[in-house]
Amino acid sequence: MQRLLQGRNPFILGGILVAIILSVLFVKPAMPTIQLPAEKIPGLSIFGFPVTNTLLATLLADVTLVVLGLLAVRKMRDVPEGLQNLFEWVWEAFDGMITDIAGKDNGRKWMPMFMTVLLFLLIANWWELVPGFDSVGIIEPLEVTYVESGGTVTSGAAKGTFLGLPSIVRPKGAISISLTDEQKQRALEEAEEAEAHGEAYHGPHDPEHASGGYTLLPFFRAAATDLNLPIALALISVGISQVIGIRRLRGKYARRFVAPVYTNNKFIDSLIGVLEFISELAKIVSLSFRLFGNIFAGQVLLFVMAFLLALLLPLPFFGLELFVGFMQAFVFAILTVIYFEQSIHSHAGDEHH
Amino acid sequence: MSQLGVNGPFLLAQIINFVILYLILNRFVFPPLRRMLDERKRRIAEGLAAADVARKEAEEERARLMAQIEAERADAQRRISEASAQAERIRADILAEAQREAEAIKTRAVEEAEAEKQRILAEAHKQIAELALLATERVVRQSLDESAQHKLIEEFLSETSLN
Repeated sequence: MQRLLQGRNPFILGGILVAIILSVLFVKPAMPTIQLPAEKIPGLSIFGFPVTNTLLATLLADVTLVVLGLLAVRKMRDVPEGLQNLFEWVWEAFDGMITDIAGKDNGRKWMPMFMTVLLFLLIANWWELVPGFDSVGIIEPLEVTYVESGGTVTSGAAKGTFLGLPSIVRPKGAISISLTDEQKQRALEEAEEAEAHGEAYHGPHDPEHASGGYTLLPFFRAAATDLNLPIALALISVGISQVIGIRRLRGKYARRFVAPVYTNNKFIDSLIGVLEFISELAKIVSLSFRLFGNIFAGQVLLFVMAFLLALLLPLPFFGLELFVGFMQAFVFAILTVIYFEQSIHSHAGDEHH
Repeated sequence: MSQLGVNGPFLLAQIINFVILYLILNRFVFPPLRRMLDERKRRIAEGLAAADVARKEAEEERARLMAQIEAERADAQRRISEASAQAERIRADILAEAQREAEAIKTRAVEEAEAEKQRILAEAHKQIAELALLATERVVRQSLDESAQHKLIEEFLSETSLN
């Protein structure tokens, strides 16, 4: 703390502080866009396939991880340094844990999968915390969605509501406001007038909300906030666990769902089999939505805090998200290994366990 | 699901992406890392085992040297005590020899003295006899023949036996 206030440092710190205060006072932050589907980046497509900002973030995480990994093993030294040391440390830190869960042989086999999931999600989640990651993008004027007090959309400019909750989750770049009776009356008149002239009606003119508002379409958005990624990983995780189970147990694997032996009662056992089947599906849902929910919520939290007060307020939440980002990556990876491990245990009744 | 943003192509893209990522990492990053860790683990274990062996060997060597030193010390001790015993014996021998010699010298001296005494006594006898004869001759002024003279001397000597 003392070194922070030596030499020219106080002036630099003071300058930064003044710059932050000025920017908070005089530069309006763009409305945070909070929507579930990832934003497609306009004008960018691969083979006619639109590219979303989460897809870009996924590729960014890929590149980061691969480059770091290759740098780490480029010049392996007996006495590890830098990146090599970091990777070795991470590997060693979790190797014992995986061995404890899956045993020596299986642990060795599944460790690469665990590490890939862990490192990929960790880097993808932590990219969110890098300044500029989801705050650099295309600025667009705000579109206003007009909502009647009853909840129906009346404006032609409306992009629709999400799950009937327009005021909580808005379509990108839209802001919804409720109309007073007076405004509604005027809007109706304007709509009739526009219809009479054969023009499209774009909602009542509202200078307060329609002018000056801007929204941002970021180039990158945390990869896990696009449900496609968590669901894809969960499908891979649960799918591979099925493959492992079938390869290990052959025909016995199916008995887990059809005629498992848990009790003496055949009926109860078959019910348990059905539950086992449901639980496999539930694994996909719980894995994907846990990751998605945590990271999406974290993103929203950071947006809201930065929007409320960009000065210092988001700082503790960055710390929190650092932890959440690691925790979710770790939980996803460790559950993957646990599912693998569960899949190789027979429930055919000829095994004691 | 489409309202949640889930759709086939994106899902497929993510799956493919992850598979490719896994293949790359599992080919280029994890194997060297694991090789390095295994190798180092093996080397450390070997080093520890070697150190253990070396320590054991050193301990054995030390014990052996200690035993050797101990043996040598005992040997030296034995030699010293032997030497000192020998010296003692030699001293005693010399002393006894000296004593014996002194004794012999003393005895011889006594004997010589005795012999001298006897000789001197005999000489004295003879001279006294001659003196007495001479004196008697002077006194009696008488010349005796040789045989009578000897007879007289014999008589005298036997009478004046000086034992």
